[in-house]
Amino acid sequence: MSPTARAWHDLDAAQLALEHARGARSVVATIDDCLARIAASNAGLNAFLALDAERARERARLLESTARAGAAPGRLHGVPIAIKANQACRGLETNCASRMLAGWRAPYTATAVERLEAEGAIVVGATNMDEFAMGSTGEHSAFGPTRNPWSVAHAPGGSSSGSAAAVAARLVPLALGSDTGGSVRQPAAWCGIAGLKPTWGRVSRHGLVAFASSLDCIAPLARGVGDLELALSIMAGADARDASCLPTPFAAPIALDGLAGLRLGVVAEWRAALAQGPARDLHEANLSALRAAGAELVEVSLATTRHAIACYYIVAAVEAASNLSRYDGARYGLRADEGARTLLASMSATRRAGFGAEVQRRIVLGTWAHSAGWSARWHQQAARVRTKVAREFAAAFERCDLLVGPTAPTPALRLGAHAGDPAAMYACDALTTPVSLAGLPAASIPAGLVEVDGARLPFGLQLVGPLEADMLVLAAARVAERVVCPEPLRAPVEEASS
Amino acid sequence: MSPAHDPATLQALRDAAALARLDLGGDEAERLCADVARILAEFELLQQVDTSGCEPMVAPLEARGTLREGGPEDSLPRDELLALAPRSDGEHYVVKKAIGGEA
Repeated sequence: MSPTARAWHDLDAAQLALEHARGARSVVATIDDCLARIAASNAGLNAFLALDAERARERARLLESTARAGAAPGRLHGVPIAIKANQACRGLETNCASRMLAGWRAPYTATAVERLEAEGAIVVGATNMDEFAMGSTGEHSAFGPTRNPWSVAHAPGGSSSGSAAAVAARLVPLALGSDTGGSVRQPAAWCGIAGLKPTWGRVSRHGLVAFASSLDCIAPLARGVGDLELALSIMAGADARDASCLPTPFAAPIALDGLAGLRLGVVAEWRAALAQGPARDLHEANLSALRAAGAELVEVSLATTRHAIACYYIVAAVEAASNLSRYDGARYGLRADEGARTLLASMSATRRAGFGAEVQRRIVLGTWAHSAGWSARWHQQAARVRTKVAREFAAAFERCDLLVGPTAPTPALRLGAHAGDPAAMYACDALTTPVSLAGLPAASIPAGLVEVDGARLPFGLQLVGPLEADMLVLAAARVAERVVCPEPLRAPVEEASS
Repeated sequence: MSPAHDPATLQALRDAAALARLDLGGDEAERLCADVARILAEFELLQQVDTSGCEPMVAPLEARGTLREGGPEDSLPRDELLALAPRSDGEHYVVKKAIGGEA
């Protein structure tokens, strides 16, 4: 069988695996070309922080030889994937885009990555991100900002900036990010691709560098929903190395022919979050298209979600302050203790030198909000508001099957737009953090392009489901992506390099 | 008083930075704590939410995963982990003296 006329990077992950498995396309050739494409475009995008070309080529040769010997090919046979630099893959630099972990190579592999590799995926490298996953633009990396393949003057979103840019630029068909308050959905929206935040606990967090443990999720990014579904079905499932991982059998994919009979809740507060302009017009047109495709639109209100940013940033900062206390310069990572004479002085000097400004801000905020005298008023209140947010979602789901809204209040912002104004940056997460607080599954799908700020930029549509309804979210997203954006978007940077 | 202008809040933030082992210099600490105080001023509305009847949420779902049997298991090789340390003597992590004065 001869390969399809299309280049490997125009195939989605499932199609590419199938062509490799049938022997129609060489895994070694795909990996060689993938590495060449990354080498050609990374200086402009800064999407990858570390590559492991040797390991990738070795795995490609191994997969080809085991397939020749009769081994059954996996569902991702020979598919190059990228992982965010906060996920362990043995031997690969896992630096979390921080000076604190520069040069640190993981001595083991994360469960989610291990499961993808067991199905034939080949990790080619680790992607850029906001340091320790704290940021919404991809600019808070110790190794420089990632750039958006749609316009290099714009941010790709964050914190999974490099994974989103790599998929949008067709350097890999599938990548892993992590979503704590929107870090996969928002960059997916800004880069014109699809991203899924699974139900909290759906995918093992073993091997994910901890940021805010009650919110963190490993989450896939791809050009279409089909690959998200494939990745999730491979990664999901109980893991003895993560007790918070859901032990329930994972549901089989759901096939929806259309949207008829589906009640979509339109969140009034999210709809109102869009300013008058092209993004709002596009969103309204997409809601009409979903209705025309058979969905019943029901207006719902989630009044407390206007407090979600404050609630999220307090809760996440408290957990981050605790999780990041492990970086003390003693056991791994940086030690910057020139002139320090005591252990405490060594730790303090190391943490000052190793963490960037955004990480330091959140550590101070979290330490303070959880300290005696302030915890009741701030952390405990935020944790109660979180309960209230989750209850409002549960009440909304009594009136509809899924919620729908924009993924972010705006398309991509120019790099530097919120420099020196952290609160303005946090506002980028207004529509994703409520979902994270309640632990719900949500997908962001490409919803078209808008002309803003002299550039044509993608805009995203978010579908949110009840706890554990990941497969319903994906099934509806699969239909919705055909309704609102029938042709996959193609970033100009990618076209230029093809 | 808004947290952005409250001397007690600013001092508490400076104390938190020290408690979090961030050895920030004078100007750096002032800048960072002022940033955080401004963020808190934006978050002040959180205090007005009526949360009566709402227990604090610890996690979205109760942990239902199965725990491993307690017992010895193979761990990562000691030399491999020590090789990742900033300083080691091949058998131990080497750090500054913690007790009994300077090292």
